[in-house]
Amino acid sequence: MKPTLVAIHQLKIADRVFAHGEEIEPDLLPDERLDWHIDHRQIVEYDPRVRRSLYRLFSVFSGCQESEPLDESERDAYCLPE
Amino acid sequence: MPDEQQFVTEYGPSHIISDWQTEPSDRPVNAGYSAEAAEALSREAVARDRALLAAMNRAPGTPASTREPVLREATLPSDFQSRLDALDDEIHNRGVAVDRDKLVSLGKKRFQELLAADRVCREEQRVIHIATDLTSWFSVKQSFAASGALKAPVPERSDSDRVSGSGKNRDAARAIAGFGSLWKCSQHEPRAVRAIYKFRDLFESLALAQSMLERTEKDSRVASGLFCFCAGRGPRVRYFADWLSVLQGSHFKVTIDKPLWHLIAWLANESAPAPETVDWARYWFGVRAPLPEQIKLSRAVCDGFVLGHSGWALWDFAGDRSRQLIDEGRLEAWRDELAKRYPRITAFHRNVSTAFCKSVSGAGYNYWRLDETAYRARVRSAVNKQLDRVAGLAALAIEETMPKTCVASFQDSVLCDGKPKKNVSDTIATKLNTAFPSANFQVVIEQLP
Repeated sequence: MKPTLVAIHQLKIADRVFAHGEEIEPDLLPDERLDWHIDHRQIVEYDPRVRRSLYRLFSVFSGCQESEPLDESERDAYCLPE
Repeated sequence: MPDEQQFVTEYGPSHIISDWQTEPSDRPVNAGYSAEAAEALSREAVARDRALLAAMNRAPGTPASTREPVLREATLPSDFQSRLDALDDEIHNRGVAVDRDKLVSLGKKRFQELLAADRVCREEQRVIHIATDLTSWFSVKQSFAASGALKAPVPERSDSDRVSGSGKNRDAARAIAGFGSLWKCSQHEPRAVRAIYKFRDLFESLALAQSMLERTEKDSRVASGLFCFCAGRGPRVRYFADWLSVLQGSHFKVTIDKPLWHLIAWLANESAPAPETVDWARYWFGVRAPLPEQIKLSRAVCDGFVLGHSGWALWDFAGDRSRQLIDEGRLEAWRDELAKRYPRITAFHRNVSTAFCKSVSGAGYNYWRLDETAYRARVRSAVNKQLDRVAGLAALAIEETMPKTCVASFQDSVLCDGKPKKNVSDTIATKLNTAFPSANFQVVIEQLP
């Protein structure tokens, strides 16, 4: 699974302003552009095990291509039971 | 004082074999008994004398009886359970009709709100770091611990408390075991705690909505155990209420007003009217128009009182319900005012709790202590059982008046298809008052937009 992208400092991408610590939508940037931001220390990548992507967790509502399931304990606690 | 007469009191067995066990003659003790028989008689006499002494020197606070009082039971129709099971099956098969497009549209809007809530959390950089995963309790706990904010303002038990085993509820109150008890950190980082709670509410609500969408069948209906009696309580029911606007067609909701209060008042024979939480909030906070948070706290204190909580247990309960940190002494003063106003509820809990007192004895002490865990578990199970019956009776009454309309039944409300008939509330009230004689359950019917 791809890493979770997080903005360091305030960042403007495609008319959208991201605050420090805010997650960046996974499909927003092309790879080259993403590498450029990472090289310039404007974006940091986190392993999904460290910080999960909200866009992937709620892909139905965010429109994200990739999806990530909730934990079993979360499904038991928050989702509709059988 | 040599002339003064000396009185000597002796404790313990005064003789080995009581007079009545021996022949009233001048024959020597043990005469005619074998050594084993004499030993057995001696043991029995010692045990009897000890029991006598223990009874005469009963510790203060010893309950008169440790038998659990028999609680009032509802008068239910003989076929109640079978009809309820049949209705449960029907509700499960029927499902709730959901407008898929509306659900996705509202879900997208709420997702943007979730991102905004995340942004607000990230402003609290002293506690919430860039790598903090707000969806994970472990990550949030680590962040709070790193900033020194993972502390509950509850005094630790002293060595004396630990040795005697008292003050265990303080240990329970100090525990911060999940997002539900994060409010205990409000003393150090109130803004961060508020921001995280806002994020969590949206997160959990969206998780429920996403699962609703995944479980929607081709006929646009969602079937789930959440809509049946067995699971119709807890936070999921609260989150489901956030999504009522996406249901297909017209619906109405039948809510039983303050079911917990009316049920325990019925169990305790309390005839005083139920407390108006707004009025209590106005009085306790000294304001004309209390804030929603103040009303919420007032409701939590009333619920805690009616469930028999006091001291740190009440602090923990009211905090969990309202997510607000408030001085324990202040809460106890409020509880005392309720106790004066509703003496029968206080007496009811005193009577029930005596059954859960355990004798604690050791070198130099002997007293009775309430086993709070067992007591709370018993009260919770008894109350939940009766509340389920209240909800079941209400649902059966609706089903009798308007067949095939119930689509979800929760512990304090029933969701129905269509529009309510005029006599629905009367039928429910009649059913409830027949089953719970002299109870004062109120029913509120609300047409959903």
